[in-house]
Amino acid sequence: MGYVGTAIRRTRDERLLTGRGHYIADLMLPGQVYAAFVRSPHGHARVRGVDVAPALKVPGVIAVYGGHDVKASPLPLLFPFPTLEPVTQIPLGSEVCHVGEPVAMVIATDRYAAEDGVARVVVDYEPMPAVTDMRRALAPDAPRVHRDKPSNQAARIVQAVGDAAAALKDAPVVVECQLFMGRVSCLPIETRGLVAEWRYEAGEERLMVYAATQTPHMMRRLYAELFGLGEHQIAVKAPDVGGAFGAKEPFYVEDYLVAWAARALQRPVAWIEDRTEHLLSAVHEREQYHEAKMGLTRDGQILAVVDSFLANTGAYVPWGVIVPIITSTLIPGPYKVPHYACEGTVAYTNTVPLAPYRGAGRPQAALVINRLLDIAAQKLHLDPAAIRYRNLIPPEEFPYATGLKSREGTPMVLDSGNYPELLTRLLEDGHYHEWRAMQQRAEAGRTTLGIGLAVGIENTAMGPHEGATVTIAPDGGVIVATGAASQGQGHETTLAQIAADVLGVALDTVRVEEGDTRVIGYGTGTFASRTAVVAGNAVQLASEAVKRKVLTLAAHLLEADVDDLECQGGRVFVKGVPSRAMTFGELAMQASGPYPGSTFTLPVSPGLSETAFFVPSGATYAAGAHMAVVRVDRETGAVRLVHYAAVHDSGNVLNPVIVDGQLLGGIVAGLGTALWEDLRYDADGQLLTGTLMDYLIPTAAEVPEITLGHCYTPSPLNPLGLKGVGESGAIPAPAAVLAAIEDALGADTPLLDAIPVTAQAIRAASVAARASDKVT
Amino acid sequence: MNDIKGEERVSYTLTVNGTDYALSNLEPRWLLSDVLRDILRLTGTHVGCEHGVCGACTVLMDGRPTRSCLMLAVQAEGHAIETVESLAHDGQLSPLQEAFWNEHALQCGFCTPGMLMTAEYLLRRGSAFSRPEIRQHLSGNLCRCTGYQNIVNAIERAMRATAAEGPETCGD
Repeated sequence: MGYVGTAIRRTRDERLLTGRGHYIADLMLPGQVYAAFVRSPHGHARVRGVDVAPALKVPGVIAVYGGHDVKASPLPLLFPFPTLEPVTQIPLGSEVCHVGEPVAMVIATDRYAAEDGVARVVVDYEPMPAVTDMRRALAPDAPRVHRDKPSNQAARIVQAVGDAAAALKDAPVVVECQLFMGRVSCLPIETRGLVAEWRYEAGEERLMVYAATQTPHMMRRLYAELFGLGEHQIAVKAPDVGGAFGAKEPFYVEDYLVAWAARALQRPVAWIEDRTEHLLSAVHEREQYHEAKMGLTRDGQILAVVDSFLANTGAYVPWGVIVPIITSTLIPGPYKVPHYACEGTVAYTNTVPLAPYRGAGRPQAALVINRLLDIAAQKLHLDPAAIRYRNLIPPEEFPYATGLKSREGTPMVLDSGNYPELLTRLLEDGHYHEWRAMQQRAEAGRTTLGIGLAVGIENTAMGPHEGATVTIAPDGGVIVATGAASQGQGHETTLAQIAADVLGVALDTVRVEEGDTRVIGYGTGTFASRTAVVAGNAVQLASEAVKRKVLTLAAHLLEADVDDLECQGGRVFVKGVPSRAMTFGELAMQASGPYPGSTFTLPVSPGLSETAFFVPSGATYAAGAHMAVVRVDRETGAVRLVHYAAVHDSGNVLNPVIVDGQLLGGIVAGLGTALWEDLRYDADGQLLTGTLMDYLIPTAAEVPEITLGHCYTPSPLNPLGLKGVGESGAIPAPAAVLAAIEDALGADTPLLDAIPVTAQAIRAASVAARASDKVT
Repeated sequence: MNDIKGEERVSYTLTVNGTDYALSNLEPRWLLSDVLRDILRLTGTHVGCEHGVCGACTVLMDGRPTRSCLMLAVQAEGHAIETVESLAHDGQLSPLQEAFWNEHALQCGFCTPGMLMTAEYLLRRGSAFSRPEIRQHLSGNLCRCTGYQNIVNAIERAMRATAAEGPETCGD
């Protein structure tokens, strides 16, 4: 049939276009009441007491809970690591470690009354010293982020390939850079939220949670642990989810508390995060500081890279320290780095915890290596494209063993790729040489053109597994059930394309059920650019198993040989004799068994339904090459994005429309990281950017037109040859933009030392360049 | 601290998508967005920031794009409110909705109602806007999924479609 690989518009958009989506805030269960949280105004404080009495007098307030009522233990650690000293959050604990941490919970008939109640709760805080700067946090005399911990160090991460120190010492050319990478918010336009309801069924408690989450099965497991229940007593369903980007991946204290309150009150409790709460409590990401050196030959070949970095994890580790681990393994990226050493220190601070946001540590890695290459290119008078060609891993060396260990401790091997081709396509599609010529022709003036290149890779399709149950129903329709949940990625279309092709049915007869623990027993979730690959291949395997069953059954009923049968249009027929046929519906009806009490005599197990899991043996590596063209005003520091081109290798592609959509969104997220998005704390732990008027994400007006190109090196690690794509666009973008700005400023201007690149920083650099001009 | 009375109640009529809704016994402080969503159950209008920046809650009031999270519902009495639910007729998507679908101008769909209402306003102005102009007009609607490019494509496509039909043809 050939749906896979075809540009098909999404199958279920009509609902979302007509206002008939079903998002978490649209739910209104009978008897539902609403939660709001009292949140700490202090960066660090002991909670001496919570007086709920005044709040209980507020009209509409039903209940108010402080830590003494809830008596909860710390949240489970989600991603252990050998050197990690984990501190996880305690729901309504007696020590608050960042502004925004919940201290009390108010339940009321509506959100207005709940917020009235919040305003009336009196909390007795004993403020304690706070520290928000990760560099300061690691000083011996720094205030302690957690009162009882001897140090603010959360973890040490060390990577080594060869002997980088020695290779650097012997290198004829050494360049270095320092770079601070600012803190950003995932910022889905729909905030977090959940509705929890408890019931008694068959003498047992049952918890039903509707949640805007990326990981329904993980939520179920954690609820089971935290409430001491069996998983069979709990169901979690993600309705339509309005974007996530990492924010809806961890399990938060609010997730526990809302369910706890619903149990205490025996009525459905809803909580919808507001935007300020989102900025004050949903995970942040990116913040790292790197000092890196690169040793090269005189013709620009990398000999060694040494990187030392600090990573901020905020007050807790909601997803372990996976972000800096990823950074440490991906700095060499698409380049051959024979000797590599990296040491990262992860610091606790009195700020919102950091955990994966689209890109998850990889944009930072791409910045380090691409920036070192650009500095080296300048020093060696090489074109930035030329130095990249000199160092990209050649296609004939795949699978390429990096010498590094993956997060599981297994060898990190890049499965497939053709990075020089990627760069060549980029230079052609982006008209790189024309832009360079235009730059050279331009007369000196206040505004200058700059061109930046970056190549980055992404380890996609993380495990441990994803499953799919494919069922042919007696009405002939196909149902695909999977544990992955969608937040707008279009699984309902792409996963259906796979099943439709295997089974030979029309796309509109396939229905994808996902994001619901009741549709499949086990699941992992949607994050780490994994669903197309991991769930997609599970759908492939399960569909193939169902097809085998269909053919076995049809061969029996049609008295034909399996090899003589063909599936098409939802029918099985004998090749060349289309009238000897059965529909899928007829076969499903037969397979469901004759009347109760009769004997099942068919040569297949009952039901045309099969479950299969895909267990990736390792990550598959997607890659992207980006070119940014900017115009920089040296006087005002203003940056205008003039042109942007990207070429990506996502392996085989299920649906080009959806892949391009993912890339465009990812690239623009990366532009935000590079230029505007900047969560700032003051020294006491106050978030200075708590609204969308001071935390700026890209709007349509700043974003340039983007041209996209593709290369295709299928992954050998999965039957469909897919690679993940959800985060790929975000990874090289900050590096390309920073390079373009520095290219515009020219070699005589001091290097910028931070992203997002602000107008102030550009102007300061220009002024410094002029001053040094006068001196020399 | 403000005194919380919570006793005052008001009654008023809202005109939404051509229908008059008589509302009674409501607190005057309720936002238009909340009344549309929680009282009238027109949940197509989304709330993304409650401080007038993200644009997800955009509706048309007397034909102009308006943040429904930045005004009280009681202030909307006597004005014609249009929400995303009004765009399709008899199960037929409007040219704008069709264009959003065909151009893959939505992913999670959460910003989409606000985007559509802002774009609907542009379409009704009847002139052809350039891509930079469309981008300027969309700058009050945030999207975190699409990178905007396909939204601009969709609006251009819808402008062509309506220009081809409508009396105010500007040519292509």
